[in-house]
Amino acid sequence: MTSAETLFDEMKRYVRWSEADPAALRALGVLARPHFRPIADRFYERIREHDDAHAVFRDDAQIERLKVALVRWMERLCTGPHDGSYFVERAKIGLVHVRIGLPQRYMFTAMSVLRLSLEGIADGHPGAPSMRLALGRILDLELAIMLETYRDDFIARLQRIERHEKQQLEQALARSEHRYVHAVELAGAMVVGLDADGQIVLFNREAERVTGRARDEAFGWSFVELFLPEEDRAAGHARLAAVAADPTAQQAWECEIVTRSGRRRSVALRLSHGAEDDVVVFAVGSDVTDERALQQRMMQTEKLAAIGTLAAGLAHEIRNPLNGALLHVTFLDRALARQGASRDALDAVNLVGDEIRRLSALVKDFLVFARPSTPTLAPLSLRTIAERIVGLLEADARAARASFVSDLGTASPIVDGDAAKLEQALLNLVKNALEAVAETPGGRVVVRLRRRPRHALLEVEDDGPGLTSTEAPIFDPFFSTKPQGTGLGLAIVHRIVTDHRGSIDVESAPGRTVFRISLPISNEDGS
Amino acid sequence: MTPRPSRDLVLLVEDDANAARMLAQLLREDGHDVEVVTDGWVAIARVAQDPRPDVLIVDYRLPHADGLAVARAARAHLPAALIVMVTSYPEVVGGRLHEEDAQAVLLPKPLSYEDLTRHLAARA
Repeated sequence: MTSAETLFDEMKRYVRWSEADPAALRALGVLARPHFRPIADRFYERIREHDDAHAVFRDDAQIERLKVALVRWMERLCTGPHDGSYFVERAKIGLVHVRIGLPQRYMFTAMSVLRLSLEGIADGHPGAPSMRLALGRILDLELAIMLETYRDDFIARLQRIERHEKQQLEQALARSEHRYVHAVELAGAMVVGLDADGQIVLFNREAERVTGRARDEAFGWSFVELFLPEEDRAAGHARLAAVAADPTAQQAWECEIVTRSGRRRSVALRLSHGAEDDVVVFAVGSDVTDERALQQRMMQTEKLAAIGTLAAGLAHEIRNPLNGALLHVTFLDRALARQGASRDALDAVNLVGDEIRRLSALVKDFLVFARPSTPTLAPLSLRTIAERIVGLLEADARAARASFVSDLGTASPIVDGDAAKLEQALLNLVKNALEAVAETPGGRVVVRLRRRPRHALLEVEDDGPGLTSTEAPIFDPFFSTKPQGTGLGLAIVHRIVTDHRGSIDVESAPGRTVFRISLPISNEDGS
Repeated sequence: MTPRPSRDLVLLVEDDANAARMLAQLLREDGHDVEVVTDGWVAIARVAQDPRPDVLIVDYRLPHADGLAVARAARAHLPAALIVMVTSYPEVVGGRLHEEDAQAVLLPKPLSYEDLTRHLAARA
């Protein structure tokens, strides 16, 4: 090891190690050799007087081995050669002391014991001065080597500590960052971060869920351009720019966003100016679509309750005069026929009769729609309901010259429902479907029942011409495309389905229109 | 005119005079004997007397006693009679009527004369 030799040579130069020194030490060795073992005994006795030093030794056998080693050590001290291998050997011995944890101070004091013992042997001898000088030099070199091993160990220990501390710190940082990421990811809230240009740089899991877009689809896009409907974009840009410009900005923003599948969701966001340089605007919030829908439904229900009360009173007032009018029309029709009146006169009377009946149907539908009655829910089989309605309308299907297919599958899902109301809902849908296919003979209406894990699906499909537009508010009261329609049939269906905590949607294209009612499966359903 | 025993006697209880007159005329033209009463109490008293009506056509809302009370009295005295209740409140009255009298027929207003004659014919 060149570096070790260099270091040892440098040390020797420092203490002015000379050619005379090895010779003097050899001479000392001759004198001292018989005393080596007693010196070793005294040496370890002295050491063991000190608790901290004593503590590093295990047993007598170990001390015996150490004594033998010390005798060998003194031998080499005196005989040399004091070269590179000497340094390496001494360093190894030093390292053993370091390893067993002998405190440094005992190195010095122990060395002093050895020095005094050996000096005492040289005393009185003619070569004593040169022996003492050489002994002083070699023992100082021994100490220097020992110190070096302590130093190396100390540095190694420091490095280990440093390394350990650094690891700890990195782990702590990583953990805390991980916690933040976790908190943002698992938050039930949408968290979106935007840069100075309004582009998405942060997009958490809830944001993905609400929008239907994965983060890599969203990153780099303008939030406004990607999610806002076109008509709201200008206002959206202005609002985000205002928050980006004002470090104290905090504002609530409820907006409609368009999801990946094209659906609109209401989102309530809290906008705040970001403290981080790459996130200028934080938008944190939640999907409030269902909440808003519920609020709207409650408002609607309250409104309907008021209308319902009014309607019930009004219905009587309308039906009584209609009753008189219809009886008179019946009489008139009969009288005119008896008198041989013209076809036109008879048609005119019939028309009045039809109008009275239409008015009567409107009153009836309106009462069903608006009457404030909550459904009485009990576990029931949707299959039974579907079978009843299919049976009830078979004659109507024949009249419409349509084939009527009942595809009820194998499941018999149980829902909590009001049988009369659900029958009415299905009846309205099937009647509509039959009307839709009545225009052309050979139409087909399918009533389908399917079970999903948590919902039952009741579908009514027809191959008629389809809705004029799927955007039309077909479930709104009084919306109708049929000349004789009251505009309440689908509104009633919608009302009944939502009263059952279900949902209804429609798919329509020429040749295939499907109304799909989804109802939650009852907890009573064991199937 | 001498009443023929083969003809049905219809007791019509209706407080709307115009509607009652018209319905009575249609029924008579179709070969029924018709007696019109416009008050609930009067109707209840009438069903206990001879000649016993074969058919009771009763409005629900009447002065002094409602159609349900009349129908109840009629059923007590005339177990075989056809009882037809005509009402503006079929949604409300239907359940109560059928709880008391499963045989009774409920027809909503405006009354379809065709529906009524179907029920009368079914009885004969």
